Formats: sequence, structure tokens, C-alpha cells
Amino acid sequence: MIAVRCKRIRSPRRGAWRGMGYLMAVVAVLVSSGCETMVPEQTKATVVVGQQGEIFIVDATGKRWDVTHAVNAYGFVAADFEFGIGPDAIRPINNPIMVSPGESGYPGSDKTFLVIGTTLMGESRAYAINHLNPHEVVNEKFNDLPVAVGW
Amino acid sequence: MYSRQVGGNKLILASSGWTYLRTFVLYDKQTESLWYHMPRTHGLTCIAGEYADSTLREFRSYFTRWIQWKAMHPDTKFMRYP
Repeated sequence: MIAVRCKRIRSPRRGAWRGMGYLMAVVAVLVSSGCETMVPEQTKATVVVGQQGEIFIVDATGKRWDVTHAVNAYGFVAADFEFGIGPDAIRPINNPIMVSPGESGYPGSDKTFLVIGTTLMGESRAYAINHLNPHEVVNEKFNDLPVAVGW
Repeated sequence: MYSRQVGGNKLILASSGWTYLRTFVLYDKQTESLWYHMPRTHGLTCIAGEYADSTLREFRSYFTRWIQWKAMHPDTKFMRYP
């Protein structure tokens, strides 16, 4: 008898904590490999104010992100953005291959690894947490419906 | 899981490299707008950029183990990796 226990994802923070572990590992690798220019000296964002009062946060690659609207409309605190390792440090998975039962790469039914499972338009799909963690986002499609899987 | 479609536009989402309150801040490659899951909401909200104030709706997803998911959905597909 299999005790079925599925948790509906309610909060983005669950995945974020595990993803944070990966992010810190990325930072650790950058530090140990000597890429000091890519690593922020502190996790909090560097904030720059533009000539018209725009609020920018600057990431470790030097890229400026305009967060004026986030601050004014949503109450974000610019300096509370953290890490800023740049937009290419964590690359998404795009258009992955989904395998069906019996196909090569399909896991045995008794495997217990963690997954995100979803059912849409009558089709069920699962994504292994270990595969998601290094990428944060999977861009794919259910039939013609474009979706982003994350956690 | 979120829709990637705003109006007629299909976005490609990725991590911006930023977090806020320990939650990843996403961005879309098309406009570099920032997308964030605001607490106590469903879906992603565009907090800055061209799509400011737009939202991407959320679809239900489950955090579980393969053995349990497979038992409930025997025909389930699986993302091959790499």
C-alpha cells in the first residue's frame, strides 16, 4: 500500500531555500576559482540613483536593473535585493524532451526522488528537483500553452 | 508553474541573478522586465520593466516523490535530463 502524500505548492519560499543553497554554491565556486571580480563583496544590492531619480540596482556583472517601479508601486527596498550574480549565472532549461513510460530515460516506478508534478490539459508531467535546482526555470509547452516550471 | 504568455506574447523566463526576501526574481529575455511571486498572490507579477503590473497566471503543481506521483498518474511524462 503506497501512502500517497502530495503537497500543493503554496509558497514560493520552499523552493527558494533549496535554490538559495545552489546559488550560494555558485558563489562559492566563483570565489574558489579566483573569479573575484564576479563575486559581490556583500549580498545586498549596490543601489545607484539616476539623474531623473531612477533607482537602479547594480549586479556583479555591472549590469544595471531599473527597479524604480518596484520601489514606488510595490514597496520594494532597493538595497534588499540580494546576490545579483547576473542574468547568465543560472540558465533556464528550454524546451526539454519529455519521455513517456517505456522510453529511454524514464525512471523506474519505485524511485523516490523528489519531483514537481503537474497536470494540465489532461497530461501529467514530472520534473526532478535535482534537475530543476541548477536552472530555476524550465520554459516549455503543454500542447501550445507556454509555461514556466519552477519552484 | 506559470503561464509564459502576456497578451499574445510568449516570454522566455530565467533567473535574473537577484533574490528578494529569499525568493528568486525572474526576468524575461524579451524585455528584461522583472517578475516576482508576490506574497499572498497567485502567479507572477511584473514589478519593473515594459510589462510592469502585468501578471502571469499560476497553474497548480505539486511537490512530491516520483513513486507517489507515478502511482497517481501512471501515464505521467518525465523531463529527461540533460
